[in-house]
Amino acid sequence: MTAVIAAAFLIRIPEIPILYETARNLVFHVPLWFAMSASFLAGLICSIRFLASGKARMDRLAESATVVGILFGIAGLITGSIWARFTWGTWWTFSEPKMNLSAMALMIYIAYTLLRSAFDDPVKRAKAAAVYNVFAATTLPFLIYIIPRQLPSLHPGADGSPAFSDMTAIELRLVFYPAAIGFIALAAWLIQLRTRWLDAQAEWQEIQFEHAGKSGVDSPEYMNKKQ
Amino acid sequence: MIMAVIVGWIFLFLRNGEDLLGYPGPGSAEEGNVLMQAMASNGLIFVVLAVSLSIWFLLVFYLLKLEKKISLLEKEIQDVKERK
Repeated sequence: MTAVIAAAFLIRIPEIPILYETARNLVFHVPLWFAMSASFLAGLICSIRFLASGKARMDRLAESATVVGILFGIAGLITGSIWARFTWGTWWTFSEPKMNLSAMALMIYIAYTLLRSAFDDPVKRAKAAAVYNVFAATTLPFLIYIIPRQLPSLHPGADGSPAFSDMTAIELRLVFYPAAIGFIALAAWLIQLRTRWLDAQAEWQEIQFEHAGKSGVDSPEYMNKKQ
Repeated sequence: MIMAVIVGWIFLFLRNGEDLLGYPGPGSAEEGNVLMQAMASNGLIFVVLAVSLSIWFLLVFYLLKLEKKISLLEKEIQDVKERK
């Protein structure tokens, strides 16, 4: 990632009207969305695996992947907004489909975290969250990719504005692909880190319940038995 | 919760920052305040800096938050071990 950041600032790019040096943002802004999509995809897979196997760890993995995906999505929106201010002249415009549909997709995923917090029973919470996650994941390709491509927009990747064109320096692709891999790897590390914390928390709750002479209500064993 | 407040504040500031600071809001980056003019200088390179810094600040903030949660958990486990 250090090499990617250094290269993003140091690589020579041609002078592009309107964008100028901000064309370098391609290396930071777009991989954030790749990392977000990869995280949500991981969340979908884990949710399906949870529904199939009932393993509590799969639910924790799905939760972590979704939260990390939201984090990268928020970073994508903030960076996009800063970029838009200096190239389009506004922080936010409701006439730009990709911007608004991305925000809508994030809202759908933020609702996932709210849904989780609405349940006290861990089994019901895990099941409802897994089903909702499957629904949320089906909306993502339409909101992020398919619909914005059908609508005219200044944003690269829309109808009449290809993702890679004169507007985006070709030289930047040399840095862009390693950056995409780097950001996805960063997301994977964050998911793993957060899951380890959730695992430790579940184990800790189990110890507490055992200590109190009860069965661990939130423990993986309990959840597996209840399936 | 804290994260939601901070993100909300960032969006509010981005949307209404100039109004909150008493500026009517620039029509373009070049017409803005000193900060905006500085950001728009040198071929907009500072915009790239702002974008990259915003990503790392967000990630560092999240990591610190996670670290705090892990520390609390470790402390609780340590307390139980000591009681035993």
